[in-house]
Amino acid sequence: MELKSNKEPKVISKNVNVFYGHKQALFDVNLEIFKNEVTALIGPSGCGKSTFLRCINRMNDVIEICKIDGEVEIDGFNIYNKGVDVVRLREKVGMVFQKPNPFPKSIYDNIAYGPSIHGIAKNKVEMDEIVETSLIRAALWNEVKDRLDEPGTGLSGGQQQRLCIARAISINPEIILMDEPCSALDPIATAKIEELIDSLKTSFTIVIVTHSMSQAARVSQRTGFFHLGKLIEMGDTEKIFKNPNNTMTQDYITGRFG
Amino acid sequence: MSEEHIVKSYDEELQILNNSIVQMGSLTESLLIDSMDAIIKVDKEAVSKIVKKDEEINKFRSSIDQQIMTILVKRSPVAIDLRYAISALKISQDLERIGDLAKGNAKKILPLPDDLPPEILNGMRRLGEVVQKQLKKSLDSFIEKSVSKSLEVIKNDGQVNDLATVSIKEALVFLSKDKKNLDFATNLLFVNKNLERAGDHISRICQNIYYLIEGDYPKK
Amino acid sequence: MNKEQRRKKRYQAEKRFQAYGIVAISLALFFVGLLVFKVFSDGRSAFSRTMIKVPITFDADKLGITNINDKDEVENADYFTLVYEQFIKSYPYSNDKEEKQIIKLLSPDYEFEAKNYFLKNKDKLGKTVSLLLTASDDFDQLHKGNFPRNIPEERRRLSNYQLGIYDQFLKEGKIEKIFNNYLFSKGDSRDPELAGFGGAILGSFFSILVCLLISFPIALAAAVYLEEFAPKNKLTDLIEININNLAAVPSIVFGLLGLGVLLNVFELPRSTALVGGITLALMTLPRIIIPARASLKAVPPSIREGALAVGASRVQTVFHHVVPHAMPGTLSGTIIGLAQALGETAPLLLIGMVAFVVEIPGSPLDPSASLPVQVYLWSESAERGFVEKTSATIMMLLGFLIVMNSLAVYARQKFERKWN
Repeated sequence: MELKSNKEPKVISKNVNVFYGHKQALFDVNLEIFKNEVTALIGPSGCGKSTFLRCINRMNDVIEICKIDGEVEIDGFNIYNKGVDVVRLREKVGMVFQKPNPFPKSIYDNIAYGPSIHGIAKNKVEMDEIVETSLIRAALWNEVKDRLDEPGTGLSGGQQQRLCIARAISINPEIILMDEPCSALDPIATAKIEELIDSLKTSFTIVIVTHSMSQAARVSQRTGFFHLGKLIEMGDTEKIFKNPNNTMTQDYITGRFG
Repeated sequence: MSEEHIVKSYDEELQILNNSIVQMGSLTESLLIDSMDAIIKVDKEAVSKIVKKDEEINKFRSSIDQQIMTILVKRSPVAIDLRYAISALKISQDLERIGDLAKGNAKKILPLPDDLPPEILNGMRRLGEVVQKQLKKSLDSFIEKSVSKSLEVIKNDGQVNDLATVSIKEALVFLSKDKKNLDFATNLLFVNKNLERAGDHISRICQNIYYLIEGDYPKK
Repeated sequence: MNKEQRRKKRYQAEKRFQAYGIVAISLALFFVGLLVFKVFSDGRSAFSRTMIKVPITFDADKLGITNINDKDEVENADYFTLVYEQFIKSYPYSNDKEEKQIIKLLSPDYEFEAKNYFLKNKDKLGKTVSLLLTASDDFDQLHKGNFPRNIPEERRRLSNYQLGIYDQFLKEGKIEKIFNNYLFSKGDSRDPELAGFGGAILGSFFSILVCLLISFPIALAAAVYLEEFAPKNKLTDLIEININNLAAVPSIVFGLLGLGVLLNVFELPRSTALVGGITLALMTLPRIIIPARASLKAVPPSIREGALAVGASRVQTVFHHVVPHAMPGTLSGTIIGLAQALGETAPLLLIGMVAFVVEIPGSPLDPSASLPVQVYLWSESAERGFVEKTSATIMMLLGFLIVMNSLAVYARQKFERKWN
């Protein structure tokens, strides 16, 4: 495993094993995710990359039969310790899903919901600012600034996804997890989101699960390849796509097996 | 390459490309031999055949360029497939240059002077043989995707350069003896020089074969 | 069978199926139409009331009023005799029996009607006014055409003499039909022409109100808890099975529960809308819990995930996102459950909302009847006048049900638009 010694790891997973009932989904996953970088997780369907992603913000807790072994450290602190407040964790680690899922509320309320339940804005003026900033950062402000009262579900697919990104960054997280954020979008909407990810990485640490290898090659600095629940190889994106160490990695990215 | 691509037509395209390079390489090999033969036998008739062969080599170059463009556009190759495409492009470039050099040599055929010491041609003949051997080995190395053969060719390039230096020195000596040998001696110089340059191109071909297999260029 | 034949058979089967559907729907519509037609044609006449025009002179001496501004005098004046004496003058009679028969043509309420008129029009003291007084039930039914005249006199409720008076009045233009406001404003009465379902309407209203206020919050809370927070184990499975069973329990059982527990143990006031409401609430609870749970189950997980990912706690996710999304279905279920409760008769009979209640209830703590109970009571009575009133009450009930179901549709649409 390669270590970039000039950057500190933001997230470290140590011997993470995940079980759905009796079925094991992840086997001894050890990897590091570095600050202010985009890390891509690739691999065939069912390889466990989404399961791993959901360990980082403990969304797997929602599934009753899911059990997790091992540690996931964020800034050196194991988030699976007893007594960890999951709500506070998710303030720090945001998530964007495969199918855009804006709340059935207005665009304004979509963004304002997070800050309001965490008590981030003290008054309406501050809230307005947060909403505007989030939408600007998500490259959506110009398109919706005149219709903030309209329902979020009335936007196009690409706009909805950017709305979800704006919603995620409205509470100022440190890490943003993206689970195949572009798979439901057309190429132009996808390109806009990739551009957005590029600009966001200076402020956030981003982990993206993607089915598209070309997307992983374009947007990420480091890439991890998963297969059947194991992390096969992890390294600099350029190295992985130009000359990977592991034959299985090469076979997957060149399309020699699915 | 361990397995086949899921998409069979991809494998077919790569196979056709491979064959094209092998064929272009064989053609270049035989052109080199023909060119040396023609020079030593002073066979002016052979020149037009040689020129035609070189044209065929150039056609191969165009075809290979097109094939590689298509693979890049269609398949967005990565890792070993990408290295293969780039190497194939460079190798065909080098083969074309070798063909040009061999053709250029053949065009320089002149009748042998009467007082020509036979050792002079020996030097050139030997150089030509070594260069032919290098080209053959490099083609074998490409077909077998052999790292060891590529490294041997690269190492032997030193010998090619040495032989060329010797042959050039002999030609210069011959030139200094009698001014009337100027034309012939000049041609000798050019032929030797071209053979040395052909050797450089062959060495470069093997560096690209090494890169294709290992993912990096060989250390100097 | 080749392709062509198979295709033909398929088309035929489809046509047959369509035909079955049309027949079934037509049959259903036919029966509904029959019911509505019968009820409406029977009940239509209840909305009008036959009045007899009687010239009344408010003679101060006869009334015994010396000072018009004296409240007591005006209140206690003898309107009975005033009207009696002047009414019997409207037709010749020859003996006591006939005299009694004349006055029997008026509803016994006539003194109050005259008094009410006078109280509103005190300036008519000493003047003659053409007063409209309510006719008796038999007279009313006769005028509405429900009275067979061609049967022997002994079997009739009106004598030939009385029929003669009717014909005479009719010729003199003394008979009028007006809109029967008594139907809505008055409570039950032994006299059909004076009876109204005003009491029953309020009784139903109060009991449904109590039912709603008790059952909705409890049912919603139970559904939310069971669906979102309770652990999935044998105990919760048992609870779910029992709730489903409770929804199927005959409503009369709840009446027994109301009788045994609410009336006997807690000694709550009998016949009141409060007790009725509580009993109905017990019955309606499972009927709201079930659609509420189904609606909650139907909320897509993406909504929950979106809320959780932004850092909402489980409770916040449920109450800010899941419950509002489930509201259309829950409200539909609630209003349908309430509509069913509105039509319940058996449990209310058992807890006593079957009393003969004349006064309109002012609060859920006053004794009252409910609309379906009123239908039951009136359908038992012999008088012809109650037949039309029974049907009119059924019309009222149906009207209420339509309004409530429309409310369900409206509320559902409004919520769907708002939240989706």
